[in-house]
Amino acid sequence: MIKQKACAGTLESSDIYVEIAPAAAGSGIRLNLTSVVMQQFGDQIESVIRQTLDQLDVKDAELTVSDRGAVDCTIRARVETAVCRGKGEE
Amino acid sequence: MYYAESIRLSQAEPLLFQCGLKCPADVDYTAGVFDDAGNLIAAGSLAGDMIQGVAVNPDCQGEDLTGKLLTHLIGVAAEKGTHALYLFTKPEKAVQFQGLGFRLVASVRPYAALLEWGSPGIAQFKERLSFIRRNAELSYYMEKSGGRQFMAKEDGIIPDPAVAALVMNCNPFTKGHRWLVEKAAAENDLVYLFVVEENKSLFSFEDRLAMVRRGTADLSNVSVIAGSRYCVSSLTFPSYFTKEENLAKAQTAMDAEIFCRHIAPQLGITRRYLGTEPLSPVTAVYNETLKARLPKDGIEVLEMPRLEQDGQPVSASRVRALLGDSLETLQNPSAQLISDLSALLPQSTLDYLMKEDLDR
Repeated sequence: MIKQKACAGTLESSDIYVEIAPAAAGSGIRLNLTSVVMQQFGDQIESVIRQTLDQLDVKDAELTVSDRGAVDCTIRARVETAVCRGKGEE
Repeated sequence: MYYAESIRLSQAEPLLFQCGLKCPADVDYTAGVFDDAGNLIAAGSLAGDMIQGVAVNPDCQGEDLTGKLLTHLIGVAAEKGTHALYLFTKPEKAVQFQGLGFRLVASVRPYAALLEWGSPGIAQFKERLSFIRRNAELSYYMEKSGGRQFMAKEDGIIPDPAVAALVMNCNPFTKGHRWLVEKAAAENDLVYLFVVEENKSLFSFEDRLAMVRRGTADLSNVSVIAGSRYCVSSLTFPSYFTKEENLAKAQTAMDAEIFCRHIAPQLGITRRYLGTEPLSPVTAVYNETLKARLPKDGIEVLEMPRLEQDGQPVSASRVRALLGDSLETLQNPSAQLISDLSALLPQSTLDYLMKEDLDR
């Protein structure tokens, strides 16, 4: 359960900035993604984000994500950190 | 390596000067980015929910300092509980901020582009407008068809409503405002009345909104809407309240652009009513800009002369002058004051001012 607004990452090149906010139970994942490589990698970035959320058992959340060409492991790490902070585990 | 940290605004001044920028006013927080040698190479400030004075040393551009700087500022704002931020820049620089994930609200060449970050933003405001529109149109079709609105709408038997908009500060709501709204309500099927949502007036936004709602409650086709940050606020229009005429041109252009691009299409607005303001040069610039810009999007602009009484326009500024620009005068009003006020104010406003505990 995401309890509070939280963020992770930076807006710097090769990084990704992830902001997560609580959402009503049953509302699902609402993802607002912008990326400098949207056309080439938009789908892949989205699927990495959704997989990571799934693994962390996040069912309902609103995410605003700004990507500047982060690689998959960076994306996973940033999403994980944002989720931990959003759950109040950090 | 570069690092970002809190600095005093005065430390950023030489850099701002070097970049040809003016020093921002009313700043709450300033951040600087330093290189290894401790030289300040980028700076930016927060003023409420505005990001201002973003400057990068021209010799260090391309080093991605803007990303580092804005990450820092966004983080500081989030800690203070501010999750929606705005930024003005030159139109040609907007794309650089869009690359960082900022959304472009509107761009007016050659003056400025407005970008936003986080939520709630213009998208959320437009969702609210859609909701208001559905309710307003439902009543319209209901009334026109005697309850068979869905069938009638789809059959095209009932014409689309004529839709007008007004944007007013109503500081406070006068007979002049009432007259203008009444006229718009009589000449159109639906009227959206935006109340400027900015607490820089004698009367608070809450009080102004309440006075407008009470003063128009009997006009069933008028919807009163809180103007948000996108209708003549210091976001789109800082100089409205500071009376700098040149800046007003840029800001009114931005306001008109946001109205045309976002607000009017969302509500199906085809007419905009304006009141003349012979005494205010800033309002004159504002009206001229709207008259030039709105028709390009097929919106008719109707500028109405002020309602006059005893040869003088009924204006909110006259009411404020009677009050000596202070709400204290209402604590213990003289009979003379009440009689003077009642010449300018509708009963609903007069009642509100006499009975309600005003937000001081």
